[in-house]
Amino acid sequence: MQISFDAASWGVNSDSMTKRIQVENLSKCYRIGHVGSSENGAKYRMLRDVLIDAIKAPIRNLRSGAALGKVEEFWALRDINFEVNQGEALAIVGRNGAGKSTLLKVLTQITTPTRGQATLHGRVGSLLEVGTGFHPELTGRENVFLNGSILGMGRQEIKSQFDQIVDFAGIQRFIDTPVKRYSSGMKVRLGFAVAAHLDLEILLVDEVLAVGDAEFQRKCMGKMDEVAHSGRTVLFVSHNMTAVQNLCPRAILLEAGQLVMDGPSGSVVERYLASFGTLESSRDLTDPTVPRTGTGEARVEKIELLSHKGDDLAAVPMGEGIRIRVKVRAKSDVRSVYANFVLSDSRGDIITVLHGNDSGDCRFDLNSGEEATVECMLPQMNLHPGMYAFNASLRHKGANEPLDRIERAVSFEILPADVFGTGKIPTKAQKIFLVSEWSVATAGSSKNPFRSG
Amino acid sequence: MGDTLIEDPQTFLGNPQGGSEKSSRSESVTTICPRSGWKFIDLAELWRYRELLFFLTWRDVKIRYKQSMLGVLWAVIQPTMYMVVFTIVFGKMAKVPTDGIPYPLFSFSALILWNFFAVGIAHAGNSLVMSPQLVTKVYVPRLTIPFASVGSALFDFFIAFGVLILVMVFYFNFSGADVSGVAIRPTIFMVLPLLLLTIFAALGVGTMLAALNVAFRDFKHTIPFLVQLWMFATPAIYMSLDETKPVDNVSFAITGGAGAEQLGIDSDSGALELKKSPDVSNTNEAAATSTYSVDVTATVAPQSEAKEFSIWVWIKDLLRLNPMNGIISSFRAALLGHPIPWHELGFSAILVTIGFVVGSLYFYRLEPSFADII
Repeated sequence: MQISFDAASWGVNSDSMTKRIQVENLSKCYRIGHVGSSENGAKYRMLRDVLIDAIKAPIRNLRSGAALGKVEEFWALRDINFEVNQGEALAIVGRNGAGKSTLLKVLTQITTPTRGQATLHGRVGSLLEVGTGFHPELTGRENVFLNGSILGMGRQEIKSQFDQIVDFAGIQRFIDTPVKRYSSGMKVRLGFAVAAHLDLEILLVDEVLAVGDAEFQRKCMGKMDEVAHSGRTVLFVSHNMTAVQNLCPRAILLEAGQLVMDGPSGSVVERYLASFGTLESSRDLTDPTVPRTGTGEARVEKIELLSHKGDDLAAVPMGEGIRIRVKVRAKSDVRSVYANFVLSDSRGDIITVLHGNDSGDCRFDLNSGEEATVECMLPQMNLHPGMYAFNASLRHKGANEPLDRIERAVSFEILPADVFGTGKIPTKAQKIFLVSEWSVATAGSSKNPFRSG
Repeated sequence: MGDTLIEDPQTFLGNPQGGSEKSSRSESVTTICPRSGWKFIDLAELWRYRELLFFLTWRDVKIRYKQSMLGVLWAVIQPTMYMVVFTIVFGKMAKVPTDGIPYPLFSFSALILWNFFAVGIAHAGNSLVMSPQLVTKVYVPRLTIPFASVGSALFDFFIAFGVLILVMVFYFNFSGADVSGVAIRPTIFMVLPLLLLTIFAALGVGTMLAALNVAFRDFKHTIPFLVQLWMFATPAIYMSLDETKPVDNVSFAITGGAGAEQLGIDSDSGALELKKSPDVSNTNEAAATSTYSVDVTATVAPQSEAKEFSIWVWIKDLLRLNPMNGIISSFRAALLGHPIPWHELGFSAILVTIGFVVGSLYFYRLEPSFADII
């Protein structure tokens, strides 16, 4: 795939602006050994394996610590090229496994590239995780200093910013309490507060804003916005397309480790979302190319959108009802399974979650190899015209990791319709509509219910 | 990682590459590129991160004693309990020779240094795998992580050292024990360089173990075992084999001495406590090497015993490969006013240097892959 990047098309005068980040042919290759063939087992090797290898192969084995023998190469990044100017905020979008996080890890020096080079001009700070190095036994105050120094701040710097940090996190009362007694929200707030007060020229941020409560998220986005507009250079990885479009004027799209698009974030986001598949009322999800996460103990094999009567349907008139039907097959015995459907719009914003356990109370058991069909009926789709998608996931009670999860498993379009019976079709830029009844009272009218007496 | 070139702000001022900005803020440039081959410690980078090193050390110390009733006292309790147990087992029951030093003092003076080394390498060895977020979620010079573990063990050492001074004061002034074999001499200042040498030994071994532990989790199980074995290979609770005549060989020596005239030195060491003491005094140092030849020619002695003796000599030489051998006995000698075994100490210093270089080279060699394999 060719890289469609052209700095000139951006109206960027490369002479007058300072390049903060220059990435040239950056590639990263992981070697996947076949020692432990299970997904997690391959991560590190037992000494035994090395000893066996060492008998077969020369000593370079122990020297490099790398897997020898049967090795498969996996290119997480392939010839990435881009430049970021001072004061620019660039978003990196792509599906899970496209290489976004690997790119950030290479740029933060956490891992080395296999080929290519990147040059960063200025102090670099990274926020790949909120509260890195927080120790539960230490107090909030102690953790601020620890976390700050891990992120590269000096002691004096932390001292002078300390009050602002605590203020921003809003935990003044608990600053001398061990962090283990904090709620998870408080921990996140404190962690972000430290990072937000880093005084740096370049900030690399991974998907960290997806945590915390709504209010704090708003605060974080505000801070990020402030940072992005204060002349600092920001690289931002997120699945939240709204955040991407709000924060970053420019975005790059990664697909399978390659940079496939570089342009205004609006069009990049559009292309990214379009890559999730076209309008189809039903989709076969057994295809191995379907990107999915989860343990895989049970899988969604097929998802269908049906009308009330049972017809296939990819475009739904406003206000109509639909049915979502999924076929599930278990790979091993699973208990108390339920399905979840998350409805999101074309920008990736979550609109609502159809929770099979909470709102449906619909759990089921499956033995290995058995299949089930789950159906969820929505009598009325209170959505405005536009493109929407459901992601599908299977979970079982009490477990954090889903059994199976597919982003944008099926997408559909809501067509304009005269739902209110007024002959008027609602305008855009709204997401949902509520059924409403109206009345009005003008002066002198006796119909006004609010006027007493 | 990459060949990082985050220059110190001051030194980088005016470099044309550092961005053409005239901004008052000085520029730093990070170049990220593949790294291969061997590389030695990046001292400049470590220095830049000295505050982090301090905070990590401080964290290790803090959390070690958080929510424990006795807190820092544990730093004292451990070597003290060892001292008590070893005094009972080796001092009273086995009656290990101590060159005229009361056994509790004899063992405690060495145990505190040994304890520092043992705790240091054990913590450092596990440091990386215990805090994977510091490796995978942020970039810090990874060497600071095992270094901080050694630093926190050093904190314990200073506390225990304070206790040792109290123990010494007690022995000199208030106990009825015979302290004629102990004296305070100017060599006591050797304690500082010896401590420094031990720090380097712990850093070398610790970083090596930390890197190995990331690559091969087997070392998680190996480290406690290794530390235990190493302690018995170190003259902390017994006298250095070079200082003592092979006491355990008294039985062999007697039979050998009775059989052949040539075994001059050999029979001497046997006779050390019994008969021919006068001619031993001047051949102290040469004893070990000359035993070799004697041992081979000793045909007179019963065969099985001669064989056992040759194994003993072999073990003695093997134990000399332990870098802590010379350090521990010198430390005790310096503290308690005995002659410092310079020979062994010099050999240990060379071993420590080699160990430190090899340890950090290996660490840097594996470092680029830490985040991928941890």
